[in-house]
Amino acid sequence: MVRSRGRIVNGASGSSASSLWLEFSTLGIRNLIPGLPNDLACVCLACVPLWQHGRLRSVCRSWNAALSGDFIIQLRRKLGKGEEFLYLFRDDPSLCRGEVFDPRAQLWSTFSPMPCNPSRYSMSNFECVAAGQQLYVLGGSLFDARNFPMDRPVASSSVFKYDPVRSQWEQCQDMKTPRGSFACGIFQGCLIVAGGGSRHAQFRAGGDRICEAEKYDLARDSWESLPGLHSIRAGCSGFFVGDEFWVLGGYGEARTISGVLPVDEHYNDGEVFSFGSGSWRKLEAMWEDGERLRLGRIAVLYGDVDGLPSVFMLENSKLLRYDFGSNGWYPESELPSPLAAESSCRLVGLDGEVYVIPGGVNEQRYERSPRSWSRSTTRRCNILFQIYHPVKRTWRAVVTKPPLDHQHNPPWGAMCVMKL
Amino acid sequence: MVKVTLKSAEGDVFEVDEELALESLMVKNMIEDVGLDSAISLPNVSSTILAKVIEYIKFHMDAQKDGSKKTSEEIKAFDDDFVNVGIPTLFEMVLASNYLNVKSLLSLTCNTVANMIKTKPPAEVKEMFTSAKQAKA
Repeated sequence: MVRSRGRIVNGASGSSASSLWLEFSTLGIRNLIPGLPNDLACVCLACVPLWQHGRLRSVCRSWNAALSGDFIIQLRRKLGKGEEFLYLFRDDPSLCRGEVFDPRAQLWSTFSPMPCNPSRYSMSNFECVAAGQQLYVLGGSLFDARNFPMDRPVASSSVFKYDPVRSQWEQCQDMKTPRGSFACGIFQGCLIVAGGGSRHAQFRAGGDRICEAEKYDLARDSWESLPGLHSIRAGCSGFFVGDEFWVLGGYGEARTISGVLPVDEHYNDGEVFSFGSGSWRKLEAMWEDGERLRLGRIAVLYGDVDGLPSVFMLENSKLLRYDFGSNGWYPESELPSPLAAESSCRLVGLDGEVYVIPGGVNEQRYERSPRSWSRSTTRRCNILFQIYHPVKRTWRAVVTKPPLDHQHNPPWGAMCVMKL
Repeated sequence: MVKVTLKSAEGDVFEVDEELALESLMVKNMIEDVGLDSAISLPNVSSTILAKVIEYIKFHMDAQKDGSKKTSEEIKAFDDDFVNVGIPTLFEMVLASNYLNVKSLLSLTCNTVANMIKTKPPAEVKEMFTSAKQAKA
């Protein structure tokens, strides 16, 4: 007995999958690969690394049509073929082009700057976060030419999103409370921001700190207030553990040394927001007073779907791992080559590895030839990524040449990882 | 061990273990619907391709069993060797693994096609697929 059955479209099931193929049928593609039906040909194309797609568009008209929209990107997501890319901004995103790094092919690319407001300038301490195939740039501290005094940083509430497939920026609903240097995370179509304030990029003591938290619904483009943090907290790091939003470290009140030198009072604890109970709970101190000054840079690696993430911190050229059971940080490994300016470096979890990305470029190390020394300030500099594999517990180094000039040593603006 | 009878497009009969046949979700659904008594006919799969698919499933089932001495290198070598075939055969295997709904084999074959595409310049990609079509015709 032969039963007729519908075509099995692999990995893609449910109503969203059928709407995906409906979208594909509107492209009017006759035959992508002779000998294979289009749905299977698309699966084959989705398996090709993303950086090759631009090149493959010149194969023929139907490949161009299939590869130019976001159809293949969505299919890759459905099939779990997405590759992780590092999106980073080194400076004010409305002035400086954003950069994308492909860690597998070690290729860089840039994208257009964010739309700018003519009276606002020198944005810093903003955050960026990837949601699906959108990149959100939120808040920040900036200067407003209409303000008095002009040299006082104000926090921004603006939110922009960037679509890498269409290469388009779009303004979203503003946050209810303006903020910079805050904790943010994304969970199931919902973006959450907590704490923050305004801060000068160089003179860090000034500015204000807040405790408000809010939630952004990506689909509805609307912000909603959440209960605030127990204490005012800025400069904190946030990540999701299951449906809980963890906010670690940061600083609250500022004091001055001998009434002159202002310092931040860094926290050694954290707060956790649970979507179930809708409230914040305190996390105990992660270290004794005096053990360390502040929470270092943090990277979060998500392994299995339901398992706990691995959280790493960089401190004095050492990599530490957070233990959820004992609420403490334990040494994991040591950086093979020390960093010149650790305060401005960044840590990011990319492709199952921890990338240590230096903030300033250590020119003496890579510009060895004396002839190039004089030109090194105007040339693009190499940059060394130190990469730690948490499973193999090994380090590797990658030297790449980013597309943009990077003459001075400004701290990195912001970075995030997007799966495409 | 219960045996399942599979019938290819040419009418050749393959007798395989039930455990092995259940790796194919399509055959699994068929068994749930019609039971084990009658042969399951697969009109979209030719005998040579069906034999290859069975060989693939068998190898991977053995490799997954406890006490198997196969290393990941050996499995990879088998996979590489398995898909080292001409484009027409490869496409038939893609079609068959989709029809039989064997996820791992579909992933392997599609990745192989992707690997063929990604190392070649556009003109060669076009050439490769059109010549494969002509050879088949």
